Amino acid sequence: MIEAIDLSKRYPNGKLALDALNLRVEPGEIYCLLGPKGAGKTTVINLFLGLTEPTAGRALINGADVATDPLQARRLLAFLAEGTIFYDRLSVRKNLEFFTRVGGGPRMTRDDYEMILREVGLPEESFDQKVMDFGPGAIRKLGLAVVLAKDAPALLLDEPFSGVDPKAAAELVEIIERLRDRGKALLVTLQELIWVRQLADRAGFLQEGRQVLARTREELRYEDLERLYLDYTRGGLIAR
Amino acid sequence: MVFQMSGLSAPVRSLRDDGRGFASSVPETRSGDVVATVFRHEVGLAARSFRFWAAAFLLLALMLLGAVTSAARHRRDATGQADIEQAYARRLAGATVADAAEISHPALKPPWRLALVVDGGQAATPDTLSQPLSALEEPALRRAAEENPRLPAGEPLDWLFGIRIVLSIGAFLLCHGAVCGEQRGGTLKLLFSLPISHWKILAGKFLAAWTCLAVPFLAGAVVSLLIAASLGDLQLTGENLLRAALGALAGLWAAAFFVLLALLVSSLTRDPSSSLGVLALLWVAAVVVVPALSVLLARRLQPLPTDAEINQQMAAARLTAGREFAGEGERWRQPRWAVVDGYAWEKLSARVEIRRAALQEEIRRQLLGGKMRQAFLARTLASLSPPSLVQDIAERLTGTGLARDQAFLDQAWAFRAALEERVRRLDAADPASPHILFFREYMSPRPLGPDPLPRFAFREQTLGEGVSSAQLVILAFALETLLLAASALLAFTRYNAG
Repeated sequence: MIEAIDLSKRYPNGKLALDALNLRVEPGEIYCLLGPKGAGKTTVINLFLGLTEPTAGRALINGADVATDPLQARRLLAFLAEGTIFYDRLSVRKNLEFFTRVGGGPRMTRDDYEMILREVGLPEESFDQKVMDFGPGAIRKLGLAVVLAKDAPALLLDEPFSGVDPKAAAELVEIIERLRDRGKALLVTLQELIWVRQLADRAGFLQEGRQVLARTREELRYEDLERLYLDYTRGGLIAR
Repeated sequence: MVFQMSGLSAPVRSLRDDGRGFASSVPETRSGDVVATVFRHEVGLAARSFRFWAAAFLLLALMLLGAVTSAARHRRDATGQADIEQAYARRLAGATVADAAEISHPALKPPWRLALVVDGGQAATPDTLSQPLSALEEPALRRAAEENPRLPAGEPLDWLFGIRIVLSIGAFLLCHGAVCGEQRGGTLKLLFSLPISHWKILAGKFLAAWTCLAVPFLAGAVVSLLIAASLGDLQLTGENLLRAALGALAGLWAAAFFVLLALLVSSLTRDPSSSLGVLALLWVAAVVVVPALSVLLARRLQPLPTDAEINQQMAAARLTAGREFAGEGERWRQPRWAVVDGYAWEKLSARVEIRRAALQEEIRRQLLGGKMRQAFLARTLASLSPPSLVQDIAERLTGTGLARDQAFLDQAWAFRAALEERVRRLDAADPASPHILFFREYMSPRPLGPDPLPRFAFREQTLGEGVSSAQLVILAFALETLLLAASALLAFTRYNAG
């Protein structure tokens, strides 16, 4: 379970990056956090990863407070970062092995690693290719392989579809949905709306650090999401 | 798409089939495991990089070249000194006690046998002090194998050159992006999201970079020792090996220091080019600016008299001696005439000359002492720079450098005193001698005899003395290293990877 209780962050320069965020992502649930650049999504991720300390409130992973027990919280958390985040001169397999081993994942055989890579849809012949030869979609799949290998109950996915072509994105959606079906709690930050209806069990809109809107899957189905998003990003509406 | 975990190995599957027991599914990794994993990973990355192979090749090549050049240097100095020894032996053969007054008795500082480890400036400083006993002759301090002073003096290619120049550059090239490069690539954020203490990541990175430098350095050290031994210029005795091991230890310590410095700077910057820029500035400051400034400052704080001032002092000494003896002296007669009044004038003239020589010798010693003090001061000031501090440690441990020069001068002067005493006794044994020492015409004409004059034998510093003299600088460097390690750890753990 991923939980934020009045979670706030004000940077030393006085900027309020996050203002009393409250959210709770249950096991087997996908929570999409939407918002334009600078809305505070990355701050939320950083707070849950313990990379920055909250100025108020708490960030909890399965009850472990990230601020006071960061190691336990990170033990329960897997993270898919935005962009190219792997060692580009190493092969796919080497990257997966390294992040699994160093993260304290279970001891795996070569077959185990290959099984996981197959599970995220990476072709067999790519296992020993260097990451530098890969596109964003394949790299994101490798990221999901790392997440799978860690097998943590709570997952943070930061812009998983950013720069990914539609076919690869559809494959990623399928993997993410299966993770939900396995009982993971997923907090997904998104800038694009295209996958929200399919993915989100619940969604929240962030604007200038404040959660200005929260919707369930049912509500999202009948909402003109694009219009809402545009209105909020223009800053014309207040929270409902 | 397949999404089936049943193909996983039994231990992994058992974890995944653990229902909802995720909270316990990621076990705590042992410190050693994390450090070892990061270490292997970093070594693997380095082995794929051109920078590592370039630094390793450069280090090895320089150390091997250093072994060959130091062997050549050693042989040249040894040959030069052997020539002096042979000429001296020829001069002594058949010489009389009186001849011993005018013969230049050489004290030779032997070429440093471990010059491939640390030269310590030995190739640049005088190694021969020729001292006649007569007050009428001047001593000469010079190099046995004279070089053309118009040739530019290059820095010796010893291990210390490799340590100060190549190891530092290698460490900076390998580690400048160790932290900020990972931040830029995004991998640092992923690493920081793992349930491991940050110090373990830093420890793995540190050990990997240090190993990447230590292995080629140690390989170069072993091969260069073998080359020096095979060329016949170095006996691989226990003591020599121990001194070489101390030199290598200083190198390994310096490598650790440079890696820590690079990790600190990388943890304080946001991109590799800034990190490399800062490290380049620090390198220039430590290797070029601080030593140069320390020389300038030492000249200012510990000035030496000019040649004109020395000449004035010498002339004043002559006048002083003359005044003290009321203008007497410089009245020398043939012995057959002088014997008439018991050599009265000659004894007085000898006292005047001895007094003058003593005053002038004191000026020379003051000048030499001033030069040594100036050099020690420059070295102390340069110790603000870690590479110079490492050089100081290595020189002290191996018994070379300024301390060896100072020991040579002290021992050479003591040798002259012993020589004087011996010649004095030989002259005293001849009742026919006027005993006006050390003036050839008025001393015993007997042959020196079968009992030869004492020969100068330089006593090298023992290992214990070296360790003892290095204690303070070792402590200073240890404190610097600890401070650096703590700073690097603090900067890394507080690094903003978000």
